[in-house]
Amino acid sequence: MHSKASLILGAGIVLVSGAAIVIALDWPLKARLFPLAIGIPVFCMAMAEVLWGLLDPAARSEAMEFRLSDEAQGGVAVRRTLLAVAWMAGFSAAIVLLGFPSAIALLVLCYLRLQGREGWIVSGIFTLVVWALFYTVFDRLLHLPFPAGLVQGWLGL
Amino acid sequence: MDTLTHILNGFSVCLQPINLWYTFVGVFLGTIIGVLPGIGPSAGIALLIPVTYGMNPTSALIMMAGIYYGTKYGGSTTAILINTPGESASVMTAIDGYQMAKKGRGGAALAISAVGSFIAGTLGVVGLTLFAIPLTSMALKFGPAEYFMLMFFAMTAVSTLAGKSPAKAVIATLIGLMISTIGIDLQSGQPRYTMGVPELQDGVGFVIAVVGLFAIAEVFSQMEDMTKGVRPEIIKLQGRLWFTREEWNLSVRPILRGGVIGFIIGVLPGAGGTIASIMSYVWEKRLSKHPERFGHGAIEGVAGPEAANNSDTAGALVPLLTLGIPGGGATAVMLGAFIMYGIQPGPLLFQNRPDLVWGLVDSMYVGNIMLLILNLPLIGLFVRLLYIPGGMLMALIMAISTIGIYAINGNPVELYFGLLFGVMGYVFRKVDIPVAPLVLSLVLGGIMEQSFRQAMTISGANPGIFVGSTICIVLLALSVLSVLLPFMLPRLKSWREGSANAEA
Repeated sequence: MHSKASLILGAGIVLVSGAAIVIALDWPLKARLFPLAIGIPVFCMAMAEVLWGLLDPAARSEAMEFRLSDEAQGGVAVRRTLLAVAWMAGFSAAIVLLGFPSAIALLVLCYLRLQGREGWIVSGIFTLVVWALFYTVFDRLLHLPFPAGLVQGWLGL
Repeated sequence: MDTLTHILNGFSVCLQPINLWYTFVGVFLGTIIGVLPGIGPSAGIALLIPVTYGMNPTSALIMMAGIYYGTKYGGSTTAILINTPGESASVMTAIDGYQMAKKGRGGAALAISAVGSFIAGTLGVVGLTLFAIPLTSMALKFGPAEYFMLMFFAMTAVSTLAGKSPAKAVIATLIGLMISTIGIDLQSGQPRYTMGVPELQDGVGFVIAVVGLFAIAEVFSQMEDMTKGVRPEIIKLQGRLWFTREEWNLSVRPILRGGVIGFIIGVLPGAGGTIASIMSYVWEKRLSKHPERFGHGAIEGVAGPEAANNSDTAGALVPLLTLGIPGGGATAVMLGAFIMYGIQPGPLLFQNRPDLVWGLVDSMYVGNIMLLILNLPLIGLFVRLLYIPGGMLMALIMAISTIGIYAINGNPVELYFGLLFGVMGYVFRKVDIPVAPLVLSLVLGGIMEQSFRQAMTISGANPGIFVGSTICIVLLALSVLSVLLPFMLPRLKSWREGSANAEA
C-alpha cells in the first residue's frame, strides 16, 4: 500500500510534466524556453523514480514511503485524512452557497460539535468569539467586501 | 556615517508607538505559534499575511519578522516541558531541557533558554546590521546573469540541504518553478498552462499557495494524528524560574558560540535553525570536559542550541534583505509578502527605502528585549496553551486560512486552489518531499525567468554570459559544491574513520 501510493504520485508527476512539455511545444520560443528547461528534468527525474520503484522492489520500499501517522493505524489515519478533506470541501461549498459570514459560524459550530466533540456551551462560545474576531478584523477594520452566497441570491435577500 | 544615520533613523521608525505595538503583536503571536507543536513560522506568517492587507508595509513586515524570531523563543518551552519541540529548530533543546525539567530544573532550563536566545538573537541582529551594507554594495554590481546564477545557487543549496533526500527536494524545486510559469507570459502574451481558467491568467496567487501548502496541509496532518482526550504530559515547574551562578558560568560560552554558529548557518541558504542547533549541540558536547552529562540534563545542551536557533533568524534575513534571495520556507513567505506590498528586497531597497529596512532591522533589537520580558513572567500562560483542544485550534486555522484566501479577490474558485495546494502539501509531507524548496522556487521562479531572459537579450542569446564574470563563476562553483556536498560528506567521514582505525 505504501509503495503503491508513492508510485502513483511518481506516475502522476510523470503524466503532468509530460503533458506540460507537450503543451509548451506549441508556444513561441520565448514563452516555451523556461517551462521546457524545467519540465524536461522533472519528467526525467520522476520517470527514473517510477522505473526504479517498479524494477527494484527493495528500493521501492525505501524510495518514497507514504507514511501515515505513527499514532493511528493505517485505516483510521486514511479515514481521518479523507474526513479533513471533506470538511475543507464542505466549508468551501458553504462559503459559495451561504456567503462567508454565515459559513464561518456554521463551520466552527459544526466542527467543534461533530469533530471536536465539544459541548454545546463551549462550541457556542467559541463560535461567537471566532465570528466576532472575523467581523472586527475583516469587516470593521479591513473593510473587505464579502459577497453574499448563492442561496441569498436565489431567495432574493 | 550615512549608515549610522540610517540605523538611528531606523530606531525612530521602529520606536513609533504603532510599530512598537506591531513588534509586540508579532513576538507575542510568534511565541504562541512556537509553543504550539506542529505550526511553524512559515505557516504562522502565511496565516497572518491576509490580516496585514490594509496595513502600512513597514508595520506589517515588522510584525512578520517578530513572528519569525518569536517562534524560536516559544519552541523551547514545549521542548523543555513536554519533550516535543514546538518547532523543528528546538529539537536539540528537548534532549537535555526535558531531562532538566524531570530533575526539577525546568525553571533554570527555561530561563537560560530565554536569556541565551536574547543574547544570541541580539548578536545575530548586530551581525545583520554589520553585514548588510558590504553585501548590499557587492550586490549592486550584479547584472541579470549574476542574479540568475545567485537564484540558481539558492535553489540548488536549498534542494540539497533541506530535507532528507536531495532528489525529492530537487523535484519539489522544479515543481515550484513549473507552477511559477502558470499565467499569461508578459513578453509574448502567450497563456501558459491556464487551461482556460480565467483565475489562472495572472498566475497562481502566492498567498493561496503558501496558505494551502503550510496551513491547510497542517490541518490535514493534525486531523490524521488527532487522538481525542489525550493531553500532553506537562512537567510542572518547580522552584525559581532562574539559573544558578554555576549554571550561568557553564552556559555563557555555549551561548556565544551558538550565536556565532547560528548566524553563519542562517546566512547559508537551505541550512536553517535545525541544522544550526544540531551543530551547536555536537560542538558543545565535543568541547565539554564531561560529555557524558549530555543527554542527562546538561545546561550547555540547552543554552548552545537555543542560542544557535535564535541567531539563525537574523542570519537568514541577511540574504533576504540584501540580495532579495530567501534561504528557506519562512523567509520565502516573507519575500512573497514583500512582493505583495510592491517592494522588491535587494540592494536597491537599502537606497530607496532605508526607513523600511532599518526600521525592520532595529525592530529586532526591540523585539528581542520584548521577548525576554514576555517569556519569563508569562511562561505559565504559554504553558496553558498546550491544553487547548486540537479541535479548536484546527477550526481556527481552517477559518483563518479560508478567510485569507477568499479575502484576496473574493473569488470562491481560489478557495478550491487553496484546497488543492493543501492536499498537495499534505501528500508531500507523507512522502517526505520538503515543501520549503517548492515555495522558494514558486516565489523566485518569475524573477528567475525574467533575469534569464534579460541576460540572454544582453548577450544576444549566448549562454556564455552565465559564466562570463567572476561572480557568475563563483556562484556556479558554489552551486556545484552544494550539489556534491551531501554525497562527499559521508564518504569523507568514512574515509576519516577508516584512516583513524588504521592508525589505531
